[in-house]
Amino acid sequence: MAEPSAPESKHKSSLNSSPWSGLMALGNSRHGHHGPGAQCAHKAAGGAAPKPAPAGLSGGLSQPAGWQSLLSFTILFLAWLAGFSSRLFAVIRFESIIHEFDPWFNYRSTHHLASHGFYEFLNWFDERAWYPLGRIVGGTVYPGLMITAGLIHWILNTLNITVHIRDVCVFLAPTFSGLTSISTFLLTRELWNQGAGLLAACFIAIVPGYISRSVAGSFDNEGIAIFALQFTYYLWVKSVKTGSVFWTMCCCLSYFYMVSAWGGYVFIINLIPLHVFVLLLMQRYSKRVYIAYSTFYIVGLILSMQIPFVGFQPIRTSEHMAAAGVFALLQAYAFLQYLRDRLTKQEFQTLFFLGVSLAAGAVFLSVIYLTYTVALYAISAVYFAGVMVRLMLTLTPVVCMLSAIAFSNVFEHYLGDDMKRENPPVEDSSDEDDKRNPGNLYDKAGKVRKHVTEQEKTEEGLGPNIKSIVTMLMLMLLMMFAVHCTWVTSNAYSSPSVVLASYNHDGTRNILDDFREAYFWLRQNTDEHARVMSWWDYGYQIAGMANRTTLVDNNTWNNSHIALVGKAMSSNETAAYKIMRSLDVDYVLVIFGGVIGYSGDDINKFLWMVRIAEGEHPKDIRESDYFTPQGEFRVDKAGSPTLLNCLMYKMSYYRFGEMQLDFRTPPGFDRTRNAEIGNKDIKFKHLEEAFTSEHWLVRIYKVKAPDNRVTLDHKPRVTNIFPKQKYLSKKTAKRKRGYIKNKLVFKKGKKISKKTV
Amino acid sequence: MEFEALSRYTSPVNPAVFPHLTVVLLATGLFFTACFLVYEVTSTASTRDIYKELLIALVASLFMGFGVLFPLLWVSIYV
Repeated sequence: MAEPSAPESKHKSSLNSSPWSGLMALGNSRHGHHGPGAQCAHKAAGGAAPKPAPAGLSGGLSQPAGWQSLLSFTILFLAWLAGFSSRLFAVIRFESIIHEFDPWFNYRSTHHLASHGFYEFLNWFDERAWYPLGRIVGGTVYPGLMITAGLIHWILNTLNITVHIRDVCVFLAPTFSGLTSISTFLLTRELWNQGAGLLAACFIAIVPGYISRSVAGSFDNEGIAIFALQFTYYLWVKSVKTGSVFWTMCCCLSYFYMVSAWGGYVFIINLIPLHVFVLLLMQRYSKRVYIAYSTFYIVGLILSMQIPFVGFQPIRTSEHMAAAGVFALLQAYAFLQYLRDRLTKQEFQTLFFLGVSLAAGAVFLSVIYLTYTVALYAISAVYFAGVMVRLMLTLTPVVCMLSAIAFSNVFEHYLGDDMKRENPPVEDSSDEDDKRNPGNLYDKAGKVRKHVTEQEKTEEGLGPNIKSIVTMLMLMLLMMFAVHCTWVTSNAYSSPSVVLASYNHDGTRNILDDFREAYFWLRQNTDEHARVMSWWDYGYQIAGMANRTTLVDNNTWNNSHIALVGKAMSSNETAAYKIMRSLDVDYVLVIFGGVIGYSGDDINKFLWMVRIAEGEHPKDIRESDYFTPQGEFRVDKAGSPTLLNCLMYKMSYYRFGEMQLDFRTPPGFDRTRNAEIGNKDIKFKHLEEAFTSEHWLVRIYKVKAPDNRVTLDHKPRVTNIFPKQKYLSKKTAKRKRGYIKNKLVFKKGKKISKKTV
Repeated sequence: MEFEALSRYTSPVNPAVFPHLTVVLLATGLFFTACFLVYEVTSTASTRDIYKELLIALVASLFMGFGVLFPLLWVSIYV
C-alpha cells in the first residue's frame, strides 16, 4: 500500500500520528507492514528505537497505540449502538411495522424479491398498480434498497436464523446508521485527524436530520444512501491521496452501489468533478488526480448505466455534463503538461494558442446553450434546498464533519497545550505554583525561558482556569446536543403515521388503528382481483397492506389517470359512476376525519383533486364552482351546491347527519372543519356502504353493478293528451244490418223431407 | 399420548441468576476481546506469538459466546 504523501494533500498532519499507524497496523497486521508511526509509538513509550516492543498484555497496554486503538474501537461501537437504539422509539411504543407511504412500496417490492427471486424482481411488471395501465417496476425503481434487504434476509435464512422479511426491512435503516457513522469516521479521519473523526461519528449517529429519514420502520432509500455517500467520498479522498487504481476501483464500486440506492447520486457525480476542478484551479494538479479521476469517470459511468432506471441518462442529461466537462478539461490539462515537458517554449506557445482558439469556438457554442440550464438549475437548487426540509438530509453529513473538526480543534487547543508542554514524566500541574511554567522543553535555554515566561504572562489567558471553563462549556454543549437530539427524535420523528395515538389528560394513550382495520377488512372480505379507487396518497398502503389492485398510487407518474380519479371524486354521483364503470372500479375508499378531528383527510385535500381534474378536464370541472359566491370553501348549508352534491362529499358524510358526537353540538357536526354539515340526507344510487372503521376514519363503498332494467325515477310520460273519441258508426239506417253469406233460410209451411230431420 | 408422564422442562441454570451471569460473562468476554485487540495492534511481526494469540482468542470467544447466550435468555429470546 502506498504511503500517503503529505506535502501536496490538504489534510493537516496531527500530533496524534501514532494512532494512525496503530489503525493501519490493525488493517495490515497480517502483512507485518509498519510505517514510521509505529516507531514513534515506541519512542513515546520511552524505549529505544531498535529495541522491539515488549511482548505481553501489560506491555501492550503501556503503549499509547494500544490504548488509542482500543478507545477508538470502543467509541465507534458505542456510536453504532447509540445510533441504533436512538431509532427504536417507534418500535418500542407501537410495534415493528413499516411506516408512512413510500416504505410500503419498497417493502412490497422486497417481499416480491424474497419470494420470487432476483430475476423475477428485475423484470417485474406490476399489474396490480395503476389499473389498467400497470407499472414496470424493474425499470422505474432504484433496486439497491430491495437488493440489500433481500440479500441480508437470504444470508440470515441460509444460516438458519429465520427472520421474517418485514423485520429485516424495519431494522435495516438503524443498522446502516451504524455503518454510516463508521464511514463518516473514516472520511473525517482522512480529511483531518482521528479525534475529529471520532467526534463526527458520534455526531452523525444521533443528529436528527439523518434520524428523521432512517428510523426503524422507515424503509426508504435514504437509509442506505447516506452510508454509500460517505463511503464513496472516503474512498475518493483515499484514491486522490494515493493515486492508486485499486482505491479508485473500490471507489467506483461504491459509486455503483450508491447509484443503485438513490437518485441523489447526482450529488456525487457533480461534487467529485467540482473537487477536481478546484484542485486544477489551485495549481494542485498531479498525476494522482489524473489517474484517480480518469479511472473513476469512465468506470463509474459504465457501472452507473447498468441500473435500468438510470439507463442512458449519464450521457444525455445536463446534470451529468459537469463530470464530462471536467473529464475533457483534465485530459486537455494533462496533455498540455505532457507537451510542456517535451517542447520548447516557442513551439509550445504557438501550439497552445492554436489549440485554445479551436477549443474556444467549440466551448463558446456549447456554453451558451448550457449556461441557461446550468444557472437555472443552480438557482432552483438553492431555492428548493431552502424550501424542502427533506433536502436538509444532504447537508447533514457535511455539517457533522465540520462541527466535529471545529470541536476537535477547540479541544486540541484547550486540552492539548498541557500535553504538548509536559513531556514525561507527567506532572500534575495543579500542584505547581507557577502554572504557566512551560515545562522541560524550555528548561535548557535559560534566557529563552524568561522570555517565554514573560510572554506567557502577557498572553491573553491560557491559564488552566480558562482551559477548564472552556472545556466544561464544550462538554455541556455536547451533552445538551445529545439530549436535544434524543428529545427531537422521540417527539417528532417516531410516529409510524399508519397508527395514530392520542393522549388523554391523565396521560393514558388511545390508539387509533383505523387504517389497518380498514385495510385488513379489504384484504379479508373482498375478492382477490377487486379494484380499489382512492386518492393517490393511499395507493402504496392499500397495495401493501390490503393486497388489492389500485388505480393510482404515490408514484404519480401518470397525471391524466390521477385527473380521471379526481374528476370522479368531484363530479356528482351519476357522472362519477360512468367513470368508475369505465375503469372497472369495485370499491372506493375515502378518509374522513370529522369524527375525531383528523385534519389530513380527503375533504381537506379535496381542492387539490379539483385542481388536478380541472387541469385535464377544464370544461367539466371548474374550481370556482366549489366555492361560495363570496369565495369561501364551506361544507355547511351555505356551501356551494356543486360541492354538496359531489361524490366525495356524499361519501364522507353519508349517515354522518344522524350522528351526534356530544350534547353541545348538533348532529352532523364536523370536528375538523368546525361546521355543521349542509347536506344531511344523503342517498346513493350506484354505491352502497361496505365498511366504516371504528372512528369513521376510513370509509369503503362498494360500486353496485348496473341494474338489469333501468327503472325510471319519475312517472312514465303520458302520451294521449287528447281523450279518446267515441266511435261514430258510418252505417245509415238502410245499411244498419250486416248480412251473413250463405245463410240458411227457413221457409214456413213447407214440409222438410224426412231425410233431413 | 403420554403427556402426563412427561415432566415439565426446567432450566439447568436458575433463571434468577440470568442477570448476574450476563454481566459477569459479558464483561469478562469483552475484557479478553479488548486484550486481544490491543495485543494485535501493538505487536510487531517479530514479537507475535501464535500460541498466545490463540489462547487469548479462545478464552475471549468462550466468554463472549456464553456472554451472548445469557442476555438473550434474560430478555426471553429462548434460543
